[in-house]
Amino acid sequence: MNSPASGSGLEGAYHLLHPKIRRWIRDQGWDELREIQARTILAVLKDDRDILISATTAAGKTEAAFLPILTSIAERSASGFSVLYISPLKALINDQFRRLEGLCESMEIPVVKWHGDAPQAEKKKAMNKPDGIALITPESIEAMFVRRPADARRLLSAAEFIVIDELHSFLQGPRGLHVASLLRRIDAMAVRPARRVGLSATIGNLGQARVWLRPRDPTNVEELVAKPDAPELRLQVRGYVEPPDLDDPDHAEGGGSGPEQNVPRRIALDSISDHLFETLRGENNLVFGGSRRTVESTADRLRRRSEKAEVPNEFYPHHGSLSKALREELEDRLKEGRLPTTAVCTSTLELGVDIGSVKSVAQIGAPRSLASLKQRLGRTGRRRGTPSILRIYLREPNIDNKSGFLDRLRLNTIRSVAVVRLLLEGFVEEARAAPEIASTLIHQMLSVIMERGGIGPKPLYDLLCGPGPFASISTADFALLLRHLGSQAVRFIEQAGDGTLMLGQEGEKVGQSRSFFAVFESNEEWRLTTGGRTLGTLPIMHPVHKEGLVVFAGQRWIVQDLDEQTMTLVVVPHPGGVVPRFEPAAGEPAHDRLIAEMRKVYLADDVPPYLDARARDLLAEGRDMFRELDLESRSLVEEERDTHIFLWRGSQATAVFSAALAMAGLQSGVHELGVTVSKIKESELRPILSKLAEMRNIDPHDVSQFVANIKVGKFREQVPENLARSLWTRQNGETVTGIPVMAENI
Amino acid sequence: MSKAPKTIKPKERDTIIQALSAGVVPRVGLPHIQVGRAAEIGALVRDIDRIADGGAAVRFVIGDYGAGKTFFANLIRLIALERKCVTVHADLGPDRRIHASGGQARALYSEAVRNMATRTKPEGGALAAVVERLVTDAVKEAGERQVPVEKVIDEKLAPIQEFVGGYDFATVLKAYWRGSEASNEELKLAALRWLRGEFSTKTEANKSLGVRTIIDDDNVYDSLKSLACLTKVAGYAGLLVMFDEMVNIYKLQNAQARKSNFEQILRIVNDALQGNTANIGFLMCGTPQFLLDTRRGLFSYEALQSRLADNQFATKGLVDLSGPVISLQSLTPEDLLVLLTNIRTVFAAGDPSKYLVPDEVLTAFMAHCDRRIGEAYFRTPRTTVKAFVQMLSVLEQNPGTKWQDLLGQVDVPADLQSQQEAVPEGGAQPGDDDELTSFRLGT
Repeated sequence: MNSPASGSGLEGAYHLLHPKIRRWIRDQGWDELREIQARTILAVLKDDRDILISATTAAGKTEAAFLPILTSIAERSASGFSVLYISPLKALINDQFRRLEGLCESMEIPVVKWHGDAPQAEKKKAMNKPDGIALITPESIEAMFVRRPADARRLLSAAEFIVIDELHSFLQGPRGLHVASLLRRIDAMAVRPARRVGLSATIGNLGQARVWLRPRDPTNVEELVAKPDAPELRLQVRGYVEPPDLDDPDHAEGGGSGPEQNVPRRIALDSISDHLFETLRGENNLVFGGSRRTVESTADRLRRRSEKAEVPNEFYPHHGSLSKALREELEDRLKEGRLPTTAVCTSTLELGVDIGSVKSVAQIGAPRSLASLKQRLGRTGRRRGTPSILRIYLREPNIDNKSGFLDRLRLNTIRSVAVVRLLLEGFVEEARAAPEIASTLIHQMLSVIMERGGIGPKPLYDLLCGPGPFASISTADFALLLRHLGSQAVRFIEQAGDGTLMLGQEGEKVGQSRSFFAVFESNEEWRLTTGGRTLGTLPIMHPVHKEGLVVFAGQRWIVQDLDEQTMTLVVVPHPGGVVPRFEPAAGEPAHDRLIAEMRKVYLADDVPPYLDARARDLLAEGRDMFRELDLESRSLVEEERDTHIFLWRGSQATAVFSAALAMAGLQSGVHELGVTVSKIKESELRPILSKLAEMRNIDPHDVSQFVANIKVGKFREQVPENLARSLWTRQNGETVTGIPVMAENI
Repeated sequence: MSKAPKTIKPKERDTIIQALSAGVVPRVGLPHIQVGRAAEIGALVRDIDRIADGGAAVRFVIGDYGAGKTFFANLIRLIALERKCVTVHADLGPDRRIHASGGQARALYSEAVRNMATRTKPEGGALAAVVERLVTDAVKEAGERQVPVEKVIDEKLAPIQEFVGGYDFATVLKAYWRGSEASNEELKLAALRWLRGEFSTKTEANKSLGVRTIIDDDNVYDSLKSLACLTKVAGYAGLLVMFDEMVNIYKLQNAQARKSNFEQILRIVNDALQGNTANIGFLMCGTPQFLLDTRRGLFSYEALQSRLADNQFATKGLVDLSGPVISLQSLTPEDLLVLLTNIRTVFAAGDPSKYLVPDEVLTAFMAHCDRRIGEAYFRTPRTTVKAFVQMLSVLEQNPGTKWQDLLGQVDVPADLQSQQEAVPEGGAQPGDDDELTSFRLGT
């Protein structure tokens, strides 16, 4: 094949760029444009379609987009920002700002950081004379719409390009719906809608990304996919077994009460930390911990090991509850690369904040999401010729005579193997449709009412609904929602005599609060301070009292003082510690394909070389159990008074099936491979399943009645029950129709 | 109420017809079509006389959409012009209100002053003429008394200087005079811009005019008072300020913002009722909701509710026009008949021999409206008038058309000020919108 950028037409790309940009490129010492950059230059400057660039982190996506965009707007004189760059993370904005600053300065194009923590003076300057590029978060756009609608129009409506970074992160979840809605509203006030440029990591389904980027006309989105330059992958999966009778696999070291008091037992995390400490020291690494609690508990252990070994600590935690200062300190330390540093983090470091390349990535707990694993892996092996290194540390429960079949099936081990198989195959799951449609729509309705100072029902519908995030909302749904929001119980909206919708008493309260700008929930929190410095926040439900112990920011503290008025905890260092519980752990959903792959792993007899001895044993134990239960041919297994149904489907189908069982009058709990029906024998279950198998015309709406917690999102309390059910029905209808077949196959 | 027919000038005639067929209030010729509401007009005329006498007035004109608030207020405005008052008027809107911190109050003031009207300039843009008159008089007086013009201006404007920011009014007028002395149009324009509240920064104003302040959000009411004083000094009777579409305050989506506006209105009401101000009157038009709603209307503000509440004896047709609130009563069928007759007369330019339709059509038309929308058409004449004017226009332009054929096609919709919004790409899906266009939150 050709070397990059020398394919037909591509070599011309460089010469399309503005002379000052060409000089900048020479100054950078680049010897050539990467292929994706050359293709993007042509797409931006020689065409007028929307563009979706898909490439791994550090493939030069940002430059690819900005070099031609800057060329295109260089001569522009109209007032208002020319380019909006929307990013999910403030840190990412600060990053991009540093990267664009010099280039933009040489071209005399202003660039401004616009988010909650960005300097006011710069924003004010841009407010008075909006021009050039704004690097902005969705929440700041929302704030502008709600608090300064006239400025929003002045600043945003003349944009020629809207660049959306980390687009894959917007494909699921309420924030993606939110951003899509904001894009639509920006278009609505523009004379000429801006071209959209999406920057995405490699994802499973580019079609989805195109629809998200331009719902009205996804075919008009040009896809530019970078050829993957897959580095060599070095991989190890390490197995660990917990001690007997363990309540809490993440408790602080030295804590936890075993059967014999005062004799600390070693739990899996202790041994994992030993290994991390031995292997990772001396280099930059990332350790992904799943939950904030696991992260804190691990970081604490690693710090203690450093202290014990009398070496400088190089392990620091990074998660959403830590103060910005602490997080940035760590990010900078990683990027500078002067001191070896390992960040123990949640998904906070999964998105593309520039932290330089790391030597290896470790993952505590078996992963479920391929998309996320791929992102994490993209952090390593970024220099040519260096391999990607991934270590998976999996924890399995102790097995004794009280243990159930599910524990004995060694699900974590099997899943790890299945994930690695899919990773090597290059599989990435598509994004799931976000269920928070109604809640996010409520948010946007309130926002538009504030932006416009009241609006009629029909114009409000036309502005928000139609192709896009709320496409599934019909006018009838909308009217239903309006009525509910206007009811005495909710009082979010009210109506003037001329039909104008206005904020009601409660709507005004919600709209005035600072937390309104985000569609994700922000709960009340304790602020932890020590010596006048903020460490971060703890959820309100964390029990605090004077002299309470807490592990936080990788250190151990005792609460010296607390102020309920300002919600502040003053802490001082202390040797004892209790790891706080943060967010309720939301299990990542598993894809159908992953669970199917797990079945293949059970059925196979190969022993992958990347497993350590313990993991190999665990794999063998799992397969033995599989064979013992004859799960190859059997789907029903009785255990004590319950019966397990093995469905071998992903989380969504399993949950739907569980709801269908509830409709048939059976209480069931879901697990990785299916559901467990309590207090029933196989013989009693069979006829019910046959009946389900015969329900060829099963009505999804009937099933929806049996789904618990069907109302989701920030404004779930304000979502009318019927609407929640019918939206669920629309999202899960296809799966529901599949229930009879699932029942038949059992 | 109908008087002996008098001729109507063609230009006036066309203006009236054009405006009515678009459902808006004509700028001229209102007396030709006015009917009813004699008592209310009488009360307002007394207000105007009081303004001219150095007093003050405040009135809230309250009526449903299409009840004729704007028509009524404009009629009063024209009467005020006849009686040598200067008028300013503006509609409130999302970006124009009485109190604000983001420039919306200044925007209201600017819009009102741009619309400044006098008898010789009833269509607006009269500020320059008013200022010119003041300055010319001052120059004349200075010549007679052999004193510097600036001294005369200062003397004349002495009363203004007592107001907040009044000192700069004098400075600006002197700048205007210097401008006309030196044929410096730029300076004159800057002075007028300042008076219209079109400077947005003090630095800019200082550079152009040497003043330290500008008319801004926080001194809009004070500036109107200064302006009233200025009109008096210029030889007019006083200033009538008309704010329409007050419902926009009720529509503010922020309780604090509504409260701040109500506080400002309370100041205006108190000053007027207690006689603290001179030569100024306020006429504010709004819907019953704007007045009565206890959550977001004027009545949500206790101090205003107690001052504006109805006279409890004035019910069932009894009226008390001494309070600041004037509720526009519905037109009677007789009033409406006269109104249609007047419109017919306007079409005929006052010549009965050119009537487009015989008398029977007027009653037939009313009967038709009654069948279509019921008694609501008395309360909201706008749509009825619009339909009638359109019918006459067709008859006029298509000689030979039979009115009987047209009447059946006349559609009189209920009066809804439905907002027309820009529809984003892919928004509107015609055909599925019925439920939302007429959507009402359940009672």
